[in-house]
Amino acid sequence: MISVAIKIGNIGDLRKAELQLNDREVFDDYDQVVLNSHREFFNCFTPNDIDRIYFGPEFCQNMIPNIQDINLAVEYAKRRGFKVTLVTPTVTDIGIAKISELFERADEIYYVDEVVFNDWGVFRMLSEKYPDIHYICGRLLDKTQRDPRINKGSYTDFFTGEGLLYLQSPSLTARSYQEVLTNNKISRVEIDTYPQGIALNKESLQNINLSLWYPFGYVTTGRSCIINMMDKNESQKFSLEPGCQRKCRDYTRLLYKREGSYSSELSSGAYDVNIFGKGNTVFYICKDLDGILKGNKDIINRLVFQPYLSV
Amino acid sequence: MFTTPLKAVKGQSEQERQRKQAYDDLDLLLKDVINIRVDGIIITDVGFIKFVHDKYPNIKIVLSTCQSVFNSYAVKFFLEMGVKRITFPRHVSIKEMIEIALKFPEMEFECFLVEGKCIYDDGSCRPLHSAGVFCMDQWEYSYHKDNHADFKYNEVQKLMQNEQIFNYRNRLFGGRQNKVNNWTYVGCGICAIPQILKCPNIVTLKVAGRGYSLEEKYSLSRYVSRAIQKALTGADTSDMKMMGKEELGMPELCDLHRRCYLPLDN
Repeated sequence: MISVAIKIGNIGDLRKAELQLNDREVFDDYDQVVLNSHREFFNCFTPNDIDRIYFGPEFCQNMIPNIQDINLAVEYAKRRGFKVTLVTPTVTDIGIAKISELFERADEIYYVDEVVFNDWGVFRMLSEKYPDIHYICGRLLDKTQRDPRINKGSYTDFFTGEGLLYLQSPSLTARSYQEVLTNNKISRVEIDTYPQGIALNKESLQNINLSLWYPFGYVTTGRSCIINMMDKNESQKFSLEPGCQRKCRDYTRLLYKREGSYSSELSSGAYDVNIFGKGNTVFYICKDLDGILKGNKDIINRLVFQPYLSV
Repeated sequence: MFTTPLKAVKGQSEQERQRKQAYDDLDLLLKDVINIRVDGIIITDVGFIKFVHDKYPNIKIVLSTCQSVFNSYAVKFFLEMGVKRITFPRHVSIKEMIEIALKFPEMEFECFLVEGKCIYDDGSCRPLHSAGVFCMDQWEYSYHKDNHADFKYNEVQKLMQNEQIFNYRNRLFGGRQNKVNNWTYVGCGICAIPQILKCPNIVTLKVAGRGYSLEEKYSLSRYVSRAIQKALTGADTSDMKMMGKEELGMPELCDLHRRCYLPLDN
């Protein structure tokens, strides 16, 4: 049985948790991708299958919610009967302080029973003070390579059988890695659907619970944000000065190239590789949710559905 | 100090066999490198850190930049895992580095000083370099507005200009040829050396030479070495900047912060 969570990046997107398959207007490729992914979701699940919201940023500490936002998100979740997982990003000491403040001062924070950490420092800080919360190792800590510029067929051309198996399995299958998780009372790990496929089974996971994110997998990220730097003058664009107008909520980048560019000079002319940028992070799109779930039914017990891109 | 980096260990089962095989193979390699008396091992994977620490407690574990340590609590976490030295990730400012390092006198730190200016964080960058450098790839692009409002002309101009500057951070010219006046076009952080020298546990300044010729690695290392010597004689940040401008040429790249490797602080 797979539980379903829905990812909400920030408080302005809460209404988007009211998932319905309406006839949305499609203005561009991003709208089309979103519509297709919603259709795929509704082929496999209903909105009633959602029992949890994931709230908060994964990739950017400038998007850490404030106390009011957390309280509003929890109030919404309570009304809908959802549980709440707080998602946290990679952070500097500034971000550590922001997250710490949420736990110290947000009235509704007691309702959060899980925290996804993408930074071992966040885990270290929170787990010491709040040991009763369930901590989830986020997908940013899964260092499995994935390259959406290469299609699945080309992976078998480029890699040997053993090489491909290496690429298809995350580090968490190693016994020592699992000991680190167990010693730190971490029982759930999150991964993306890799473009090269996933090769895991129950035995390799031992007692680790696995969540899969869908449909957006991340490619790369960092502290330099192309959207944040938009209004800065040239010499300041790569400054790490704190502060951001959060314009990533307004824009999504669409990046295109022809599939198979690396394996062939021939091209049909179609732009098959669709990659998306949101703020400081670049994402790829996965398709065929039904096939993914069927292929991994023994190992995944939670799907984290990301209906729209957010950092 | 001689260190050898070890790739993150992953096992892929058929089902336990390959995983165990990977660790066994790495263990054999470890025995060899320990026999030749390397000073430390650079590791990313937390599972392998545990393995090495448990089995070889006397070997110095150096945390790779790929674990992206940006804050003090992360340092604590890895200190408790037995790590003795941490390599700062690329996107950390001088101020942040020094603040963190001074809080942990028992930990040694390394930082990159001269190298290609990755747009993205190494530890979070997942594409295959063998398929081409992702951040230097040629993309066609467009923008989606979440409110579906019309774009304004000025807005489009700003987005296009921004894309150009972002995408050309790690190269000067349109192509992949990265030499400028016979110098490899790298990011330079020598201005930070006087501040870094005040922090006794930042013990290594790294020149990332992967992909460069031996001659280029030598030139860059010599450049950094001279910069360190200059800083030790009492040169300040502006003196170091002058040195960079004279040696690397195109002083405008320094004035516009186009060449700066270590990100600017407030």
